[in-house]
Amino acid sequence: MPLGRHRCEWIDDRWSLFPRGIPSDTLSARPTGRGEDLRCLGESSDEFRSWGPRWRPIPCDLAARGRWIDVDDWTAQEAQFNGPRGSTLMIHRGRQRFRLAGARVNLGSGDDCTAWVFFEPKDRRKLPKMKCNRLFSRGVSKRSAIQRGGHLQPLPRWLTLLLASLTMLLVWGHPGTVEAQFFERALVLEGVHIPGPDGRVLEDSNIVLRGGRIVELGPDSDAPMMSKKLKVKGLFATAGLTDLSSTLTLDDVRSSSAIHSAWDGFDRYDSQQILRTLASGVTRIHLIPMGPGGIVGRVSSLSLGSRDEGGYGILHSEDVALCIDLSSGTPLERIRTYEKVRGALKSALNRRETVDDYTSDLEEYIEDLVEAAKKKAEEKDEEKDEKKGEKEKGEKEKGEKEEEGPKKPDRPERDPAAEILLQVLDHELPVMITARRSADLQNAIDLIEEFQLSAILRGADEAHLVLEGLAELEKVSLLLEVPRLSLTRGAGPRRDPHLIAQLDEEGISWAVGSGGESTSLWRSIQQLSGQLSTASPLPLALAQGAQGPFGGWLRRGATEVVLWEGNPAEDPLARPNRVIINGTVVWQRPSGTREGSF
Amino acid sequence: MKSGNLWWLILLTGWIGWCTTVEGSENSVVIRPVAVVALDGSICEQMAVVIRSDGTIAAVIPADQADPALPTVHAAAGSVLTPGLHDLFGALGCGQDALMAGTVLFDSQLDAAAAFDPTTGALDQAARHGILYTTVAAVPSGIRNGSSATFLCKSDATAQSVAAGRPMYALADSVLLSSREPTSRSAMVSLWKDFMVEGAGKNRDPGVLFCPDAIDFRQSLSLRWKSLPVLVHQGDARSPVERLAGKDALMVVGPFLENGNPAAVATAVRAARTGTELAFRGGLPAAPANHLRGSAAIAVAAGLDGDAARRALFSNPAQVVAGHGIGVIEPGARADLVLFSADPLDPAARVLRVWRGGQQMGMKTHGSIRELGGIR
Repeated sequence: MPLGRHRCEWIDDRWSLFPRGIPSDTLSARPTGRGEDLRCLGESSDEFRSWGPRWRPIPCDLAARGRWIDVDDWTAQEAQFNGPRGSTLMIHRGRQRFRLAGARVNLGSGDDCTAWVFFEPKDRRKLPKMKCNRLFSRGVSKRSAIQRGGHLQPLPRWLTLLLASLTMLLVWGHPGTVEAQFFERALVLEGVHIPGPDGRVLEDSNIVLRGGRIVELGPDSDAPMMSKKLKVKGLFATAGLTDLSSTLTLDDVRSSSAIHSAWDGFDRYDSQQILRTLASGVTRIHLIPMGPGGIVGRVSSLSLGSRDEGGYGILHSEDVALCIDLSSGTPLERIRTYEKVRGALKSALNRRETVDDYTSDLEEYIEDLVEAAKKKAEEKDEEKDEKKGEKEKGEKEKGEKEEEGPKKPDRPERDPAAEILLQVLDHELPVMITARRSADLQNAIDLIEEFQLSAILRGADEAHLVLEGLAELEKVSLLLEVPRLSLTRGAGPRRDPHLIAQLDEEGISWAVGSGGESTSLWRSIQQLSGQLSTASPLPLALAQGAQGPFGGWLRRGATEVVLWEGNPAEDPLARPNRVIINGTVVWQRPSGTREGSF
Repeated sequence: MKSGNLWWLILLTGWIGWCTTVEGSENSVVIRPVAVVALDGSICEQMAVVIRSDGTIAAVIPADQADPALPTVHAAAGSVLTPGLHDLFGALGCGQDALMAGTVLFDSQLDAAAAFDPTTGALDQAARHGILYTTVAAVPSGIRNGSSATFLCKSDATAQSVAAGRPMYALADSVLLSSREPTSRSAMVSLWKDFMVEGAGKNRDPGVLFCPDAIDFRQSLSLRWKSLPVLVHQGDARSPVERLAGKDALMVVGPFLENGNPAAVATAVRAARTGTELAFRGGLPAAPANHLRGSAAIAVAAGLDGDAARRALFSNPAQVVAGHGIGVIEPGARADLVLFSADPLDPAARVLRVWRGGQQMGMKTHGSIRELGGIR
């Protein structure tokens, strides 16, 4: 049945057309329209009427008022839509949906066709939610549909399911990657100056961070689209400093066993202290456990980045070194501490022998058990031939034989502290010995020589007095701390002003740590660099703890960036302005009015 | 005038001029080319400082204008010449016990100079670290706590005073504290108000006022001062230092030590931003020898301006003790000078040379290896 020509009529500046599949009985039986204002004029106008109150008018372009829409013969399986510009004809036939934009479409035959015509105004926010539009947007994009001649080809169900499954797998399997690639915007530090190892400065450079890591840096780097930009023009960018000897937030925490880890005592919610440390340019610390003397615990390595759960501190390693303190207490106490540590290391060695004995005894026991089982099997065969009357007698003999069987060796009790000491003795874990006075240093040297330890000597203020002994050791390095110059003689260990030159002369490696809250690290390095021939403290500061993406000069893959107000390589008064860890600004110098305000 | 007389007059003038020149240049020393810390705390490059034989500075001129005939001390490249550092209100030169004020609320007779021992070797040790002045004062326990005394850091038989004593006041924990708190504090404030009307209000010298805590500081500022005294304030987050804005105040802060109280540093920086001039308090001999420069470095790291930090190290302490001719490098001032290898705010800077009254002192490094070995 021909549909004929239908004309839209405007009512209250709103327009809609609902030409519906013929015949009229279907029309009356299945009202699918939405607007009560709809009226259509044409040859079959009598068959159309206002549909129910559920209709909602669709706002559209007023310029389209009164245009004709040609829908030729539905039954001829073909329809033509000559609507005004911006108008779209949606034809809904069963589960298939077609879209026409001034094109022809093959509808197929049947009476269950439903069609909507509507306009797409330029401002899509005015477009109400429509069933046809929503369905349409699920499949191919509108642009591609139009390019393909107005056809909307729904994806096969199996392909849709496959794509959905793959997407889910990707999201669950690599959430970080997916997030970084699709959802995380790049962070761009624009116009920074980057000091380099050769003393030159890359001026007006861009640093692009994605997923918390530097992916590009240099003057030629472009900011990616949709990236987040930080206004940091004129600041100097370096990697974060690493404090190899920090007691941050451990003021009241004491530990006295190898199984204690400094990380356990770290207060990740002490934001005041941590932010002060970040303000000094330190982004990474080696946390030194504090104790009464002797074996005090294990050194942990952590980054001072903010955590998703709240607070600061991301653990990198809990087993950096085992810390032994030989410098606490009176001279007599220090001697006792030395003997105590020596005894602990010896007992660890004894334990190893005990464990080795147990292992060999266990092997022998298993062999004996196998032999016993064989004998038992042979005896069982013999027993089968014996009479039932002798059963009781046989059982007695069997019991006696079982008693005579191999005895299982006693397993030594588990001792986690001794196991850690054994790691130290096997060079799997270095040992950090705190010794400041020459007598303590001599004790440390004896300990290292006796047990052949890989050691780091922390403090070592009077190292110049035992330089010969230190030079003879192979696997030893020094971790110097802030020298405290005193006017009064004998008040404490005295640091020779030329100590570093002497260490360099003897070929003993050394590094610098704060020994406290880490806020003094940069000043300590500056102070010690005055004894060196190098003009700038920056290379020394960045070489500290450089490992993998951490520390060292700023490069791709680095996760920690410090932005300074002056060039730290040249300006002794340069101070950090911002600290960025894993793509997040964890500290920013407050403005003058805010700083320190109550 | 006859031509003969005129001729004689010219000859006489020439002779006087020659004599003056020779006398002035005799034993004079010029240090050049060197960067000099100016009165405003800035560093002036390529200067020359002429030191007279009488131990004063004759001239501070551009290096190329200095007389090449004069004996010259060639300063190392990058070195900076500064006035001597000043250990304010520490105990350098006297024991802590010797500075107790007693139990009198108004003690104007107490003179801290009586506790000073010039023979102690710590004075020379301090001088080797660039600290050339020490100001001692009694530990405040009343309203008036005697007068301060300022000396040159020189281990000698006699003490060399370089500034007159200033009256020392306190609005803080006092001898009244042991009775009742807060009644004793209220009584203290009442006494202070009376004293302002009767004593301090009429006194020409407002002196130095100890007000270590925030409450002391607040109550001190609530008094009606004709001219504000020098405030010695420890500082914490509650200190209303903003009230000092526009008052040309001078405040003694510190000493700041590594891992010390960060609120005190932040308060000092806040005060400096309101226009208050700072001076760093000393703490020798208990504190580390380089603590004054350490205080400055910590304050700079917390946001203090570099020039303000240099003023707080050199010129402002001299103003605190009302010393004339100390703390500055200008003609007529005492030639108590320190030559640093770099900007004194740079922790890497070392003391290269020291002049006390124009006399260069020997820079024997303390603690040689052999010497330390002997101690063991």
